[in-house]
Amino acid sequence: MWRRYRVLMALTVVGLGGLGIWMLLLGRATDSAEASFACRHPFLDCQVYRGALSLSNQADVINFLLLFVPCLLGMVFGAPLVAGELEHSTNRLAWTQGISRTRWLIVKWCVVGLTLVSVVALLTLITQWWIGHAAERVNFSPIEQGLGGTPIHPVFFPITGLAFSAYTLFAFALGTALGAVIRKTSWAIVSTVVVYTAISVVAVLFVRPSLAPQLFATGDPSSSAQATPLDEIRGGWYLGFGYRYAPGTHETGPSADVVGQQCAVQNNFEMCLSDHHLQLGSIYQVQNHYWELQWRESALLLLTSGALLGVTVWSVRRWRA
Amino acid sequence: MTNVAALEAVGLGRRYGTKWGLRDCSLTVPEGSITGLVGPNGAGKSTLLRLAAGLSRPTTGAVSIFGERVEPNSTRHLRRMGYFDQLRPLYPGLRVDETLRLGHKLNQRWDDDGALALLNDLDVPLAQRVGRLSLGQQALVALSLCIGKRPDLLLLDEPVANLDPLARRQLLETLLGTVAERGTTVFLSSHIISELEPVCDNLIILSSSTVRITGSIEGLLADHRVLVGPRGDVRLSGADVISVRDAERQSTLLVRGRPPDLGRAWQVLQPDLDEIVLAYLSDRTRGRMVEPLSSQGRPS
Repeated sequence: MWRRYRVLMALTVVGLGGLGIWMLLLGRATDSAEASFACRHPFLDCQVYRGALSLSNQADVINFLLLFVPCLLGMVFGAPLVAGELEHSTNRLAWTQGISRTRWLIVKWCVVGLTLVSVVALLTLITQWWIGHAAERVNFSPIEQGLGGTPIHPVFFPITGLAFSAYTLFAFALGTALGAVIRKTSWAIVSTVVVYTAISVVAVLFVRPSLAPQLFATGDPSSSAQATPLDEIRGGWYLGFGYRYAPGTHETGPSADVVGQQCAVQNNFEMCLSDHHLQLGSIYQVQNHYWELQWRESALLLLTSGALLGVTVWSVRRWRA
Repeated sequence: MTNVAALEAVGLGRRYGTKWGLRDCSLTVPEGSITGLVGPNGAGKSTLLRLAAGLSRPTTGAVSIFGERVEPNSTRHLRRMGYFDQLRPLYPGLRVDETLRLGHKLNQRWDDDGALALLNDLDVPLAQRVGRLSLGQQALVALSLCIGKRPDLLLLDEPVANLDPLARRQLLETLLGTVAERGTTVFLSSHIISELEPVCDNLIILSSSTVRITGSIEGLLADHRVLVGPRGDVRLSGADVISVRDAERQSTLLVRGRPPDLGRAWQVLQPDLDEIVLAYLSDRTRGRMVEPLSSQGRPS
């Protein structure tokens, strides 16, 4: 069965392997550059940031490509998995041999899906090392750089840990299911990109922030008058400003955010806040929660992939000429 | 022949939207027979064969293979059946030997030697990619996949359509040679009667999605007569008029059964199979043909 995928698989391995080697080279180059005198001195021109092909820009490109890898694999392997067979009528060959459609699909899905997951799991070993050596140091905005780069940041989170493999499986399951339902490879590819992108955005904005308890740090993180020790939020994922009721003044009624926003449009903002015992602060997912978030998000993705496999099986069983 | 039907359809129908692809079809393919299914394009031949192969689900009625009801998501009917689709789908990127290996993996009883020997005898290059083979060779690969399954029933949908005469003969000879050894039942369709006549012993005529007649070729020939006589009304007791063709002064009738003696004005002739099939496919009253049968065309 895998023979039909040998060319694609070879291209995938070569492509991802090439990316991996690029990452290794870049990581080492960044290491040695940063050790140089120029980069350790804030007023000198550090070569990491010099030129259009600077190490920093290369790291950005790699990062972008990595974020796109699961979606790409879903388009290339997932979308045509069933739709391609239906389009070329080869399902008529496969489904009149000795095994049932369901078994045919599950075997095919597992073999291709698990191969992709293993390839990406191998790549994760490199990304894990790489973000510590190149990406983490170079492509942050100043405020985040002050906090120190971290794998919990949205641009790193989905390409490290378990999430990289989980997103790959999810994209593959999504492509397969869309292909089975739409029955046209081209449309399945397009819709895979759209749906995958939408779901990734929803995951970052609405799901991941609340998968683990958030940390509320009063005060402005850039000011020195920090109530929360910097160590705790260092390497955390900054989610934005927010309001909360001061501890011990637990109130029922409207949520802190609603009241806070009402205060924000009034003349005396500070007074309004203290009248309502409200505190203004920054919200974080702290670095310590990285693995907790990884486990939970990956479990969610795994469940969704299973549900998508269910949709695919249902669609294949329903098909008739 | 035994009493078990290799294939039996009862009230079988399949509707596509508002149009019936096959309607109220009841027929039996006796075990051990080579039964031809003939009818014009769009008559429902492929629909019937797809229903029998479990690729489609009937709207009405049921079809069974060796007494086992065909269900699209079950595997029970798959074991004893080989199906040759009219599109001859194969994986073009796979080599011929890899295609056979696929058959080996997807089937419990698989005759690797038989399938290989078949292709070797016909000089089909095993190391070649299927996509690079000629149409005739692709058809042979598709056939060898069916035969490798060691089926008790072979369902072949337009197996020789679009093949040149040499490839056609090669495929049919291979088919007959193989099934004769194993006593396989064969149910094959074509819209060209001359392709079926030399290989079949049974015939089912399908037209406008209904079965017109079924029977052995010998029986059909023995049962039908062509009557040629003066134009005008004739009374025929003991025989059914299947078709009438009126010329300026004379009428040609194809009848089933034993016609009465009509006197010296009438000639009684033995029709060939082509004429019988055409008569069943043509409009009964006006003698107008529904569709030319013996011309070759693409399968529907």
